[in-house]
Amino acid sequence: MYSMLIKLELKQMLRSRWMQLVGVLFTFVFTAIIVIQQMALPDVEGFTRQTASFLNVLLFLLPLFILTIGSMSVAGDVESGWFSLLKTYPMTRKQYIAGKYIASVIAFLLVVVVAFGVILALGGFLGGVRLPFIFIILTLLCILIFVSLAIAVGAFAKTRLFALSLSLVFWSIFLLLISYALMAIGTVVAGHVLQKLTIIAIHINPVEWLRFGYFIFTDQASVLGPAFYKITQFYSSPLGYAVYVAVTLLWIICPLAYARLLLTSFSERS
Amino acid sequence: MRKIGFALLFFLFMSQTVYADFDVQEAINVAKPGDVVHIPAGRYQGDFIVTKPITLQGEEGTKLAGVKNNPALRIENTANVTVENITLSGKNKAIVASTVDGLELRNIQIKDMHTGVHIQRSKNVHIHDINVTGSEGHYAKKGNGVAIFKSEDITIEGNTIEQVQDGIYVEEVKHIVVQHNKVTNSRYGTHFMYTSDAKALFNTYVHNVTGLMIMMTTDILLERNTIANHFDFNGYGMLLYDVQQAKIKDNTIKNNRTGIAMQKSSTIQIEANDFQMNQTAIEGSKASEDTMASSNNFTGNILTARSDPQGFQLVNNYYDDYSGIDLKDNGIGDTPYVAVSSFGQWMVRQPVYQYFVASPSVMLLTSLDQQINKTEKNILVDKTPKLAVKQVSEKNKINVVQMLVGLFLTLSSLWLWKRGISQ
Amino acid sequence: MKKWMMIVMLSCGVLIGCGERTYEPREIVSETDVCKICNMSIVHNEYAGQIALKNGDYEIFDDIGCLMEYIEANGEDEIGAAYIKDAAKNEWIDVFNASYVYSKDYWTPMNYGVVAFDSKKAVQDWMTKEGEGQLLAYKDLHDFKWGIHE
Repeated sequence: MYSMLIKLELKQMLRSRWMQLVGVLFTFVFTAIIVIQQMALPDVEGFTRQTASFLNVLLFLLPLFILTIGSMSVAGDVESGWFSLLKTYPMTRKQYIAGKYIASVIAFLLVVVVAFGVILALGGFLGGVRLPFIFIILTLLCILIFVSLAIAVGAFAKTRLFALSLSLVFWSIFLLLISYALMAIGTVVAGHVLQKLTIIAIHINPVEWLRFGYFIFTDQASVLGPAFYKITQFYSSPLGYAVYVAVTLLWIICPLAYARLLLTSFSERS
Repeated sequence: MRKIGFALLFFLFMSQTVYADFDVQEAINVAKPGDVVHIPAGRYQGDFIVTKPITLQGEEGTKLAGVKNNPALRIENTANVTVENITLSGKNKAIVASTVDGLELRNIQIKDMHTGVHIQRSKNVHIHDINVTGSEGHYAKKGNGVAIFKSEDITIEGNTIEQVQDGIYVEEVKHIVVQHNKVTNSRYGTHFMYTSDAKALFNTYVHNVTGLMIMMTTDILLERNTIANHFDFNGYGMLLYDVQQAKIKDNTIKNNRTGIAMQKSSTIQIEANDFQMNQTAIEGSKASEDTMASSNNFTGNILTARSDPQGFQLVNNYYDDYSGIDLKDNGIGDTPYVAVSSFGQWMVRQPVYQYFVASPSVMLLTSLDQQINKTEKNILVDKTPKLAVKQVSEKNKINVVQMLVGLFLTLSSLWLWKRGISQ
Repeated sequence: MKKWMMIVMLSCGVLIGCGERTYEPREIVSETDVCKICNMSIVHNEYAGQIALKNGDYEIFDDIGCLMEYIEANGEDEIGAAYIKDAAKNEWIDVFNASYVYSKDYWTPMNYGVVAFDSKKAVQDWMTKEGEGQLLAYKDLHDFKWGIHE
């Protein structure tokens, strides 16, 4: 019954025109940027424009696609009555959410694997492209965190249109608005205040969290500047790694738990 | 007494080294000016001193070791001394030369010492083909590879220095040439202070905190150096502080946190250098009006230039992220290149902003900036950007394994996708 | 939304509030600290200086000369406290009450030749060891000509 649900969800997900379009778009943009950069620039270790754009494309596109598609899929279930129908089966809210989560993660993994496959194939044809291991891990984490967020957004929105707009709001807050707010605050407050606010932002913004993780795990923490020496030192220690994993898990579990809460109260009301 | 001491030491070190019974200091003492004192292979301990114009010549396996914190070899108040083919060891300084007119040091190996060569109040010094390797550990606890104080007419060439504080430290020196040296894993590759008429040519500086640190110096030429991988905290390829009349030409500046930084400096010419893959290529604050970067190639830098409101001039450089076109077909872009970005300017003022370097939000902001600031045209704008001249054409071999892996991944995931739908 | 604003404002207030009133000197972190003025990393701790600004930021200097240059450029209004290392004891002392001694033969990181001590007696001890110098007080540093002197 349970694996049936995952299969069904996955099938719906992969069938959706939107998902297929996203797959093509993601692959195209990603490949174009990476391969062009790779061809034009010399090969250098460390943080360069090439790695920066790699990271940025990942952080820009993947959360956008996951948030919109994921949230709309959950909200669509509620809107179309499919969720109410599922309730008549012997299945708990928890199982529904877990099934949705696993199906979505698999679907987005497929998209990413297609994209990486094309990059490798084309890059290999043009002389070899570097796809660092940490990027693959980061992509995985990105999918795991944002699918969870997307489900929470969808459960909150309950209609497809609201889910879409809410996703866009969240996406722009995570990607842009928090950073811009910090930068604006930084022009008036002291350096150490900005530094502390930034550290808070790293923990409450999954996009910053992933970006921060990139610098920590590639041993390039110095890119972030001397002001962040202490915190990067901490996160580069074994204890820091453990905390990183713990916070990442929180980012996955909390939204799912919240979504369950929302759906439970919804089904009790209806 | 000395014999007993030697005998004791002999037993002490017998397992690793054998002391030769040649007395180095005695041989120096009896030598006449102009003599060549040949030191046979072996390990000699003591604090040796030279006060007359002689040549000390070792051979393969000649080792001098300092006692306690004393320098292994001192050269004082004399002229025309040559030291060659010797390995030095000990705790503190290897060679100290004070008030020497005419000194040549060559083929000298120095390992695990605090400071390599220390020269003060001397003239006509030529140091070449020496090798200094410092110990492991933080640079704050180490000394310099080669340090020159208050001297004139110095040439330092072909040396290899690693793991020290400053590879070559130059303070209050007139007329110095530093060339064909290689300094790695130290604090500063070469550090000039209060120096005038200096040249640094054909040197290689890799992975120090800062490659070339130039402070309070007048009239310096930096040409054809390779400066790479200075990307740690506070790392710079070159940092010029309070420098007048510098010419920086034909250098390759690659993968540094900041390629060249100028502070409180005047009449700096940055010409025909290659800036590749730096986080920031050039930074200027309080640079004089005639400071100019011209005919350079900027490739793959995250930020081309940033400055305080004073700025500096950009003229006729090539920028790989220039988006204009050349309808006039004169090799020069029709629209100006705008290097100024709000983020870059903030970063000069408040270092904490460095956290946001190349973050998604900043990338968007910077591309907006380039559209908006085009109309302002005040600072950090190149009105005559050069268009592509040369292109790196390499790595065109097909990487078959990668290609096949990629193809396999693509096809198998597409197949899975299809199966997921049709099932 | 108002609640949010309140929280943000409050936390800002707390952050700013921290480190106010007492301006304790902080430790030098040799991995990251560089002189605010000349950018040299701090390797000779016994000559280092620092300014604790009223907003809670710290500025670090490698030499009293750089510290004075900062004060000349920015004024004393924003300064909560300023410290310089006692060259003999390697301890932080107040810049405004320290005793200074200058000689062109004293070496300092910027070679300005001015060294700080907590008392006149410490200056005397230094001079018997390192050679005679000229005694200075903080107010003399303002019009001191920083640079090397022939």
